[in-house]
Amino acid sequence: MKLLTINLVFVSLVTSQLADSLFQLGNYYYQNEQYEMSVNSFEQLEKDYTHEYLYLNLGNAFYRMGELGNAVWAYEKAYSIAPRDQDIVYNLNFVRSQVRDRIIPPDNFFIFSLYKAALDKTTTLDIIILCGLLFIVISIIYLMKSYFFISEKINSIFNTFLIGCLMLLGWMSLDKYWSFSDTNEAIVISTSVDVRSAPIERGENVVFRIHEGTKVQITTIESSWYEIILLDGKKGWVSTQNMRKL
Amino acid sequence: MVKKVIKPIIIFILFVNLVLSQTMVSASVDANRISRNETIGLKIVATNADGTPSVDISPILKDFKIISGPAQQTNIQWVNGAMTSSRSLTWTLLAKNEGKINIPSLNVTVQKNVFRTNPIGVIVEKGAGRSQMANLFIEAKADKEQAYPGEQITVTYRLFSRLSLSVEEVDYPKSVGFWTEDLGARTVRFLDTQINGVDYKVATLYKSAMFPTQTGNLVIAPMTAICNVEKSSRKRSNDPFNFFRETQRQFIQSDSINIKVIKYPNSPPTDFSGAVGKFEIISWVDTPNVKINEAITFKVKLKGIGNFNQFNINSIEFPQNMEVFPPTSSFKRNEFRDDLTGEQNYEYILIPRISGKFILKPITLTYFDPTLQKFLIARSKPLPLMINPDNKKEIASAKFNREDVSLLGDDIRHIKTLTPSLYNKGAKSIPIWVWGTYIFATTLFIFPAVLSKFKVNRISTSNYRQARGALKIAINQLSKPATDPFALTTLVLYKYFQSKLFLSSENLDPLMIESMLEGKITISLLEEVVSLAKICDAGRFGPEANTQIKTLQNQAIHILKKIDKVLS
Repeated sequence: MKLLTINLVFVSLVTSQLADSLFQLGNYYYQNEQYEMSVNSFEQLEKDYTHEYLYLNLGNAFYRMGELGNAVWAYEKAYSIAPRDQDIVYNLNFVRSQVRDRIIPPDNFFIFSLYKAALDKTTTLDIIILCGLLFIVISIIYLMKSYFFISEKINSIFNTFLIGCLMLLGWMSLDKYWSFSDTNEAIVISTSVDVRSAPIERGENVVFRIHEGTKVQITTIESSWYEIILLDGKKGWVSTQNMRKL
Repeated sequence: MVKKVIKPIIIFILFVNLVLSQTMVSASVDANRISRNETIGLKIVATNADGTPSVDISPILKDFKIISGPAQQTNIQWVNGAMTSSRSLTWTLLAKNEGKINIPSLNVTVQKNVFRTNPIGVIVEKGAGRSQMANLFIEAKADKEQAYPGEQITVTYRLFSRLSLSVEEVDYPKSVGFWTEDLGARTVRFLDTQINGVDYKVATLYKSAMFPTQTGNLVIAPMTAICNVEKSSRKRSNDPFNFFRETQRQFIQSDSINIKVIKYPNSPPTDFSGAVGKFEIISWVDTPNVKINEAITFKVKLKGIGNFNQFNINSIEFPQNMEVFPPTSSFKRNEFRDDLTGEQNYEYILIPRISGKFILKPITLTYFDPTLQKFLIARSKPLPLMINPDNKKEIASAKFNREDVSLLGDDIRHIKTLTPSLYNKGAKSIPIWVWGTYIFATTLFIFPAVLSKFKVNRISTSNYRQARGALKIAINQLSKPATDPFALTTLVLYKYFQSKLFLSSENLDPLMIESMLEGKITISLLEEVVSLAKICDAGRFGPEANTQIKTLQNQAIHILKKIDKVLS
């Protein structure tokens, strides 16, 4: 048993060092303007490992190679892990500004927009931490109330507010969970893609065309076809080889 | 109220009418330089006279001979709705002698009022006479011959004429060493005037304020003009349709004027920028109480008389951390004054970048007053400013003029070179400290309930805990040496039974102990206990007390141990 543990630790250390070396190698290639080699290193690492900076560097390497779609994909991945990292947000916005398609989502009521923005900028871990801190505050107030440090009225005001916050955070965490489990998103990685009315490649069934870097939602997967929907509600089928799932 | 306003107006109108309708008498000659054989015309005009004036001309008969006259003439003029009438009497005279002859004041009687005319000098000579008299000339006149640099010299160019003419072209003078400000009067309007009793038409051609820019003897350049003069034809034209008079172009030029520009009496102060005249400075702000980053309009008004536009006000020291935009300035001249009078307005926009109380320092102007012949300082009042803080962050480095950083290019941000702690996909777990927050919160939440339960439990089991520890306490007390072993043993014994048997009464005796322990312990042990209790109570006074005193406490410990074993 002891021997097995030592072996596991050793293997873990070796693989961890290997990953670090691969990351450094990717950076080395990038700095020497060997972007393709850099992408290979980061992509190899990305098979097993994840980190926001891994995706940031991969996105940069893709961008330098001129692969806008793959760069958007990598920055989107980085953004999903660290939505408040300024460099990631900047690079993502930068490459988004170069995407040819301009898709204007329908206007939402400002409270929903606010909620969506808050949800966008927080991770599941952030919500869990916030819930824990709120729980501590509620417990302290309960403790103070038990020993008459605060009045009943103040206690009820605090409790109402904090429980409201707690419920909101609970709803947000549920929303996050649903968005992870239900939503499938993908980025267009080909220069331009014909979106068809059916999963059949025929000349007359092209309904619209989207371009590299555009983000779409996948609603149905059928063999080598995705049924996609754009933010403005346009719907159609595209070949999977043109898309990269997030 | 209306009456108060109307009354002075009516009085003023009546006064003006009275002045305008007042009778005035003047005498003039058609030439004041004649030859011996030339006649001279003497004309006496009574303005606003209702009747024909009668003149006593006897005083002139000594020097002149009346050739003809008096010829009477009446003129009535309507100007702007007001009527002006004049009656004139004209004599043609011939001088009796050569030389300088004086036409004395004559008494003119108009409707029983006697007026006196002005005396007129006439030169009667042998030579050319009337032909030497200037019929057309330009007079250049300066209000002063000596000035300081920057002091105003008002120069007037007037055209005098006894002929019918029209001004074709005027060449305005350009003098070196002066800064010139046009005071207007470029429209030629002729008015009547007299020079030495001779009637002339006069028109102001040009009036300018001239400010010397250097010291020394300077010359104000002459003015030239070209006039079209109607020529009087000696021959009577036979053409009945010849209505047009012949004109002749005539070039005339004024004299130049010499001006002496002298140095200032004292050496000028260092901050003197050339202001000469009389000045006053007023400054104010639109609001003295603003928030950070809100604009304040700071206005400075410089008013007075002098060489405006030739100097600047002394530089203004604004408080630090107050952004100042370049000022706008405007000059407004008082058109109705010959002196260059007006006001120069400066407007600054200030934007305070930090909060606090500030004072805008007085604005000064050092100027030379030519009347007092000394340098003076015009000074505005200091202005307090209250800058209130704003929620927005204060900009500390607003001392310098700043500009937006313009983007020259745009690119993605660089890669992260430090190796992060990569983790396997799906292996990222919630950190232990996050769980700790939940555990801590739960602990805090249940703490009051647990504490309360613990307290209740302690209270409810206090008797049992007391019974359990009774032997230990008794042995402890009995192990200690005592001055009165009998009393101590009694006390400890009864205390033990009180705790062990949950008795409330403190007044125990051997009989009570016997009854309480009966059936709970063996008879022999009961007898031992009762015996011991009796010894403690009464034995101390018995003969064997001295023998038992040494073993009493140990005996008690021994018995209590046995009893405790049975009762537990």
